[in-house]
This record gives sequence, C-alpha cells and structure tokens, in this order.
Amino acid sequence: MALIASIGLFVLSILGAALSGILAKEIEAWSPSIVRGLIKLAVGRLPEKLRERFSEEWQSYVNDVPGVIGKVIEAARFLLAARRMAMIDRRDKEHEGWGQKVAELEGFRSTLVGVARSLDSVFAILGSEGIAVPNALKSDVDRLNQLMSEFKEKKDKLAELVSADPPNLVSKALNLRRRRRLLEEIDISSHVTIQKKADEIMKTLKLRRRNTRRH
Amino acid sequence: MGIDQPRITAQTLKVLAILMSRTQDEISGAEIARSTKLASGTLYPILFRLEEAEWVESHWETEDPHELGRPRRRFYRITGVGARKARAAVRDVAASFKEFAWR
Repeated sequence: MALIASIGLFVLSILGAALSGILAKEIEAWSPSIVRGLIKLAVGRLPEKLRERFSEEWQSYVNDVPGVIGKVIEAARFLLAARRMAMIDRRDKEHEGWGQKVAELEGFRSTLVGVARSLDSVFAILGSEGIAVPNALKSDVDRLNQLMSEFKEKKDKLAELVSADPPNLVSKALNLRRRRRLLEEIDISSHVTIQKKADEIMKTLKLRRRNTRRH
Repeated sequence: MGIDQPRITAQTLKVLAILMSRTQDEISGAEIARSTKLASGTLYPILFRLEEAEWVESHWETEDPHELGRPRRRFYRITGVGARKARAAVRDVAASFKEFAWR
C-alpha cells in the first residue's frame, strides 16, 4: 500500500513539475499581451487628456521591471493608479467649479457693497439738507443691510468650506454636503432683488428730495 | 494647472526625498519606484498630484524610441517651487514630531 502511494506521489510530482514548467512557459509567452491588455484597460480608466501619455509611459515603466511575473503585477497595479488618478482629476475639476462659484458670489457681494454705499451717501445728503426719511424706507434699508450681511456670511462660509482640506473621505463627503446645502440656501438671484429694491429706495428718496426742494 | 497643495503622506515624502536628492539627474518613474520601493499603483497618483500642483515637472527622453528599441521613458524633476514647498513640508512634519515627542 505504502509502495503504491509513494509511486503515485512520485508520478504526481513529475506531472506537477512538467505542468508548472508548461504553465511558466505559457505565462511567459502570454505576458506581453497580458501586460498590454492590463495597461490598455488601466489607461481607459484615465481622463481623456492623460491617456496618450500614460499609455506610452506605463509601457516603458513595465519594460524596466525585471521578470515576467513582476511585469504582470506592476501592470495590474496600474488599474489602481488609474482609478486614483481619475479620482484626483475629478476632484480637481470639482474644486475649480466651486472656486468659480465663490468668485461669482464675491462679485455679487462687491455690487451689493456699492449699492449700500450709494444708499448711505443719499441718506447723508438728505440728512444734511434736513429732509426727513420716512420710517418705512428706513426699515426697508435695514432689511437690505440684513440681507447683505446674511449673503456675505454665507459666501464667507462657502469660501471657507471650499478652501478646507478635509483629511479623510468621511469629512470630505460632509464638507461637500455642507457646500451643496449652503449653495441651496444662498439665493443667487437675491442680489438682483436687493439691487432692485435699493434702486427703488434710491428713486423714492431722490423724488422726495426734489419735492421737498420745490416746496 | 496649479491646483491646491498635495497631501504630504509618508509615501509622498519618500518620492520628494528621491527627487530632491537627485535634482541634477533625469529620473524615470521606474527608477523612483525602485528607490522608494513604492508600487506603481501608489507612485503614479503621487507623481500626478505633485505635477498638478507644479511641484514636479516631467518630460520625455529625447532619443528616438525606434533607435532605442523600447518605449520612451518619462523623466521627472522637482521644480524650484516644489523644492521650496517640500522643505517647508518636511520642517512642518519634523516640528509635529518634536511636539509629539515632548508629550
């Protein structure tokens, strides 16, 4: 029984050695195609603008790696690299988009600051000429100032969230959620409303001044 | 480009250290991988991030690939800005460790 088992084991080991030799030769023969296929697959995951460059660069990288298995392993790792690089590129694009939004809001805020200054100067002129401003208009102006400060506060908060660099995926997701919520809260058209209202107030004040002068 | 600052991880520091130690040489991705012992899956996203932030620049080797009989290599080099910022990052990391050691 023991003899049969040892003969069987011997035959199996010869078969195993032969098979592994064949397998090694097969892998060696197929490896250039496997490597090319893996690189092609990885490059396909990259953003369009990077594909041509990395298709060539990664071929040359693999070319410098010794051993057949090593080449295949490194080529397979490019799949992970491509996924990460695509993620970085997506994040950068999104970051640029948010940066533009903040710049746009900053532009609106500057306009509103100009409006507030014009209103202040009209009030000052009326005050110096002893022309009384109706309380209704005063409260409208107060409301405008409040809207402007809310606008500024939200814009600053958004800018802060955009420039923050959250350390992990969870805080990144939270940061993004807060940005989106804040942007929903900021009524982009509110600066137009504020400006229109300020123009109306300005017209009323000028009319009042003209009428008072006539009398 | 000029995107925000790359995150300084231990692997990023390894890559920066190699590039800083060989500012006069042309160093390919494969050489960086060998020196840092980083796998391609880790190395290339780091190089990409550093290049996006303009800490690192790269160019193709000038020889004709047909004459070389292999694909062209891409060489990496740290930029002046990159070197300055890398030194600052190392100082920051060293300061944090010093602070940590005192606790």
